[in-house]
Amino acid sequence: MTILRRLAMRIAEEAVERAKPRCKEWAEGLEREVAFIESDWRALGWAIGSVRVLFQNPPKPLGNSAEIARAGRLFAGWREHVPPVIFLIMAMQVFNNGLRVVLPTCRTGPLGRAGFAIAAVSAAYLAVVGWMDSRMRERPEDMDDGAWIEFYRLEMVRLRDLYAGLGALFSAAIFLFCAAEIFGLEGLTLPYLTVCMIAFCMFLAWLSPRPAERFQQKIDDVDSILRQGGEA
Amino acid sequence: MNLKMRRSPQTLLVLGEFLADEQAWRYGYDISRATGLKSGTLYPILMRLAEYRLLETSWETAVEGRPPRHMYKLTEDGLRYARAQVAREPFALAGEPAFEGVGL
Repeated sequence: MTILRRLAMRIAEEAVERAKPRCKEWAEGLEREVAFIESDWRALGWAIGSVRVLFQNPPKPLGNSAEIARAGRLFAGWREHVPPVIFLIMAMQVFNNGLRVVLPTCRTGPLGRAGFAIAAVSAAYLAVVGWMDSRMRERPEDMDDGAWIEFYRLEMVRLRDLYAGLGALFSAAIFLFCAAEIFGLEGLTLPYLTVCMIAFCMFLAWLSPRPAERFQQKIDDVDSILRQGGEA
Repeated sequence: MNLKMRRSPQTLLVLGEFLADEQAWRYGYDISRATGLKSGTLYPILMRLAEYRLLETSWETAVEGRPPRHMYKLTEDGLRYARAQVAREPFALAGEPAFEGVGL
């Protein structure tokens, strides 16, 4: 057995070990297939793909109109009581990185300053999207399920449109921000570390689901249930 | 019938592949080769289809010297759903599978 094949088997076995109970069967299915892939490189690619199953946690589909209304109440409660975390963190990063660019006392070279400037711009973009994400419409005062269903659907449409439009580059901006921060780090002279970190960020971006699709999925759920008279 | 699945081009490819032989149990790697989808894309789709009870899964009967494989087939609901979706988007299946013609 070649090293590549052994590595592929090891990755697939590790994915099975670490899979959540509801994903275990799928991880095992992926792992078994490795033995039937003739090309070692393709087997390795297949095994690396199996890691994604570990992060697969599809939300339980909404079952009926009462569950949609409950999801609407939870959504509103969450948004009301949790501060806009992304906006706050990124706003601080705009300030922080901006200072590093403009302050003459900041001991970094041109590459570092460019890194911090890119990080500041990316952070500004992320802060704007984070702020718009947190702007929830007024919650219904009515206790009626129908009002909450309408509220929930409108919020999902708003978020889908946000991430399909202005926020479409959200994942890319996170990647750019991380990469730029790394370039900005003073004294970092180990190119391989940079490459590793960039690869890690790309891996994270690959794992993260596209927000617009996620919200569209929820809209489809709601529409489907409403079309069927409130029961899935 | 539950019609809540999201219709991405990749999902349509997978549904189209199952429709090629509706009653056959299919292996993950075979579907991957036929559709050109990588495991990291294919399996989340299969998992979601199963979540909506559009796909059934089974383990192959063990054969000596060979590990049993996980197999997949559309349920009756899944077949109806797949036919409806593929009929709505026939052009989505016109693309060439990425692995076609590649010797393995």
